Amino acid sequence: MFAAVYAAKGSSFDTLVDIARDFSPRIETCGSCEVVLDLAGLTRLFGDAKTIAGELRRTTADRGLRVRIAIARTRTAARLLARDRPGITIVESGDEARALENLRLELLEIFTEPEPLERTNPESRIPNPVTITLRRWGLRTLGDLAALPADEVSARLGQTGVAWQRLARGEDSAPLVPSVPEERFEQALDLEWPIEGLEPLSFVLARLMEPLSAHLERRDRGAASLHIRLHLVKRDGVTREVHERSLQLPAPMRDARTLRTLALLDLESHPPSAAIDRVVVAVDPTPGRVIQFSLLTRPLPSPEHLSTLMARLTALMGEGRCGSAVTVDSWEPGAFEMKSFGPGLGTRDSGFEKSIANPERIPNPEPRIPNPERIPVPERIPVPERIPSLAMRRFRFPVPACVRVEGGIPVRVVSDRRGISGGRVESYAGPWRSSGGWWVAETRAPYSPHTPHSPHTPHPPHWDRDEWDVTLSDGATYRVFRERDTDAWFIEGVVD
Amino acid sequence: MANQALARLETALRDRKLDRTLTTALPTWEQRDDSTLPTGLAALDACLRGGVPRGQLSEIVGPSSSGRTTLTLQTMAASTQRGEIAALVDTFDRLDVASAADAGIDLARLLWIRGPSMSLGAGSAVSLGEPGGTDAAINRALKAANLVLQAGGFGCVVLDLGDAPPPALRRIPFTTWLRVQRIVEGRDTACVLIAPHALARSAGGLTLSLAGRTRWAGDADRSRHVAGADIAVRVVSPRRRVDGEVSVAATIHDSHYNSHCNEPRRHGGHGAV
Amino acid sequence: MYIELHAASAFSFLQGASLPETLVERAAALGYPALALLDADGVYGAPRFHKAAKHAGIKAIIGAELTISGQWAVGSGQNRTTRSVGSGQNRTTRSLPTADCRLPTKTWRLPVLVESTDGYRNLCRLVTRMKMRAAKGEGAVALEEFEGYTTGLIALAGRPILDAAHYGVGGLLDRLVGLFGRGNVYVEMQRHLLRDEEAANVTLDSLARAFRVPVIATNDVRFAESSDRPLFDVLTCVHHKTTLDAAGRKLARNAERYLKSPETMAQLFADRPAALAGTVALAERLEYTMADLGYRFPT
Repeated sequence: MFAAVYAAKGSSFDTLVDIARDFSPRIETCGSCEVVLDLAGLTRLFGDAKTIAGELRRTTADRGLRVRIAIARTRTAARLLARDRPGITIVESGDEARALENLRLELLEIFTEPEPLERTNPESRIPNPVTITLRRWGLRTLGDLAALPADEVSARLGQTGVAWQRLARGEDSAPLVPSVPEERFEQALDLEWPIEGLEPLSFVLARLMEPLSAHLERRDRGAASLHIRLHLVKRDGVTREVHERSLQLPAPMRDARTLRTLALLDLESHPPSAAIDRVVVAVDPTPGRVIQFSLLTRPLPSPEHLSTLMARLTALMGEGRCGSAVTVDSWEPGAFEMKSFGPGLGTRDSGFEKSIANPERIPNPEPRIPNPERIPVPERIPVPERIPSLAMRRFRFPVPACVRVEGGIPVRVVSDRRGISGGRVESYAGPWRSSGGWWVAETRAPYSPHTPHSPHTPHPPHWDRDEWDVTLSDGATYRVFRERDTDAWFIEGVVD
Repeated sequence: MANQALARLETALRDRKLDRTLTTALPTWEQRDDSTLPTGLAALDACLRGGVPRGQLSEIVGPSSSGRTTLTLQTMAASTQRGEIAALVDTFDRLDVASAADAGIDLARLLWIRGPSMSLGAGSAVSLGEPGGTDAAINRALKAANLVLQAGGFGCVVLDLGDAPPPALRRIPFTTWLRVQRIVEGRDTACVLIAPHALARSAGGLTLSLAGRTRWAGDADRSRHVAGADIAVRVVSPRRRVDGEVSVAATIHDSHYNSHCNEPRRHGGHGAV
Repeated sequence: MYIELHAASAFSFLQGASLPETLVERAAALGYPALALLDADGVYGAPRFHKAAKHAGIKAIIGAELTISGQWAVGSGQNRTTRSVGSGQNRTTRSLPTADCRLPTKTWRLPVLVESTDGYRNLCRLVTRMKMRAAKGEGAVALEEFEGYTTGLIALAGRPILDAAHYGVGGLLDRLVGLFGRGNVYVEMQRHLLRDEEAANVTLDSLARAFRVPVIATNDVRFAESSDRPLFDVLTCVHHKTTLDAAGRKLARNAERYLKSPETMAQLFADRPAALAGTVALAERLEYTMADLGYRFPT
């Protein structure tokens, strides 16, 4: 059972909606002057259809609304009847088609055009093409349309025609979609005596933000902007004013602590001028951000947090000093690139695959039937499991070194860099020869501490060197190299 | 062992793509007392009963070439491979990107914060030749570490002071370390400090004191090469009642840079020398 | 002393930077009594090589680097079929994992040297078979196809045999020994002054001892002199259709793949005199030259 309530021109729609909500929780608003109520289950509460209609009429009259009410088994029938007939119309179940028979065909347009027929200027209204066609055919009433054979209508007017015919018969094409009442996200607190200053205010805000945050969470919303209204009372105890602040939030958030901190930070720079005796906090909600949450890994910091952090770090350390490293496809020793540390950090799988991309250690051999003619694989050959790889600490700009060479082999390495004591070479391996970038015109001098290099590649793109791994008497193992062009020695890094 | 079963379960979930759900509510992680970050090295994790404790400041100390960087990179690799993000405050810009990649770190998940790299002059504003320069670099590194820890969300934060001269480290007031410990407490971040000697671990953190020796192989001039390192780890952690010594053997990674060195160059194969 | 048994000329298209004549000339200048030319998937350079060598008074040893298709067996591995290998007294049973699908993937190169006329014949037949079923410039032989075609051929097993991913540790060397016979497989060891090479050489050495296969030293020559390295890099770029800047690690890591003097090689392998001497011994075994082609005309 549905009741359609059609209000006359000039009625307050909000009042109508409020009244409707008082009667039934499931209501649908159609346009700006019509409300459809789902009456299912109300008969027990109010009585039969006539009683309900009477109640509706009385309540609306009390509130100053002039309405037409129609009750029918289907929404369509109720709406059509409410438009057509003044007062209360009640149609028994099954009688819809007959009740609708004599209604004007134009009424069907309310289902396509939300605004009522009378309100729009007749000259400017664009006539509905279907109506024109039907009139041309000589149809005048809903009954005429309903009486036509369905397949003929479908052949001539297609799906639209069939839909209209159904409506003419009073059939519903879709269920009622209840309008959800507008929710307000607001918390207010009246204080027993006025407070002054931000410290006591912060306690009040904390108290207000908690339920607000919980409300947002329940409705799965985030706060897009934050409004704070402080009702102030001046020293004379009489004059009142309102101090209002509105904050646009960078991203939807609902954490109580964050909201409170942001509010306080703002109020610090725009403090209220008098004592406060009422605090109202409201937010404009937006749908919450959908986050893909993994059961097995920890949640990442939000983009706002990350961008704030990166901004602060850049301010502290300098441009281009913070980010992610990227390996470069090159033999150039120590070559790498930097890219910004991004929130699109890829899936967990990508990290996994990368670790597999490094070639495997020799895995366990498959068990095989040993051939007496052949020698089986001896166990001497090690089958290692996951073993950490030895790492190196690299001097971004290689340290010039003083190396004494005997027979082409370094025997003593010292440098004037503090922290590298150097000493006699106790063990050595090499030379390991590496060269490349020969096609780049070499215009820059090789390593010199005063040569400005780009921050990312402190080495010139052309290199030709012999590297040595040496363990010195100071106990540390270094990687040193000799530039073959200039015969200059440098310390590249420390094996650690 | 439980860890293996857990790992198998996690792999199974991942394979069936059941490890992810869509939600709009950010879950909160309660700090569990025994929450640790495994380093990925079985023997070490067994000795530490899990790994590096989260919410605590731990330290890896030792002289040059003792294996500190190797262990730290392994820990960061374990962290990034689990999907967490890690941060490295590289006070003197010493990270070797190739070593990091070889260790298995997912570089996209590592926030690399680089301090000044030059010893004298060009390329950076700080001249490290004078003591003032070193101190400034260390102070900046401490500030950066604080920022990162406060931001939260990182599984592992490493502050690399391994190349700082001990006098400069002694000049850091103890209150600085207390502040760091206070920030990290209650979070699920494992904070690791690399230093030449024990400095500032928090009460619930641990100190890994390393003594490493490079392992050489080959007898003759042409065949001798660095085959790896033997790292002796001494674990000290009174509150967690974990104590002991562990040996970790590291090896030279035959990087994929080189594995195609002599391999055929064509037919869908890989580029080569 | 030392004899270079692994060199490639420009007839390994875009994978060698020197003409056979240049290589011969250089070898003669350095005092080599012999030189082996192994071009990729064919003996295209052999005639010119032979002619130049005859002129210079050097023995021209022929061979080729054959592309071997590595076939992956992807399957559950639970059902194993047994396969009999060999015949008669050599019959062995080997179990292989069942393959649900075979992926043709990573290929590798097997250098082979021709010992006798039979070897040359077998080599040509293998190459013909490979080429006839593949597009120009492509083609690969499966290891199984070597069966029955290995007489007179010597296989050089180098770094590719360390790929244990699908054959197991030493599995590939085992297969080669099975195909060619233990006396006809040599493990080749190279030193290009690369840091990561030595650990691999240690493994090669232990594998060779395990399978009782001799080790020889080679230099896998791609160009005659180290100053030819830029040309080699450019050819590599052409080969991969890229530029020098973009080629990355496809380029040579250093310039050591040139025809070194016997003295330099002796210094390089000073700790392995047996590997050096092995080259001389092997070169003596390889009697075949292009002069032995022995055309037979129809009668």
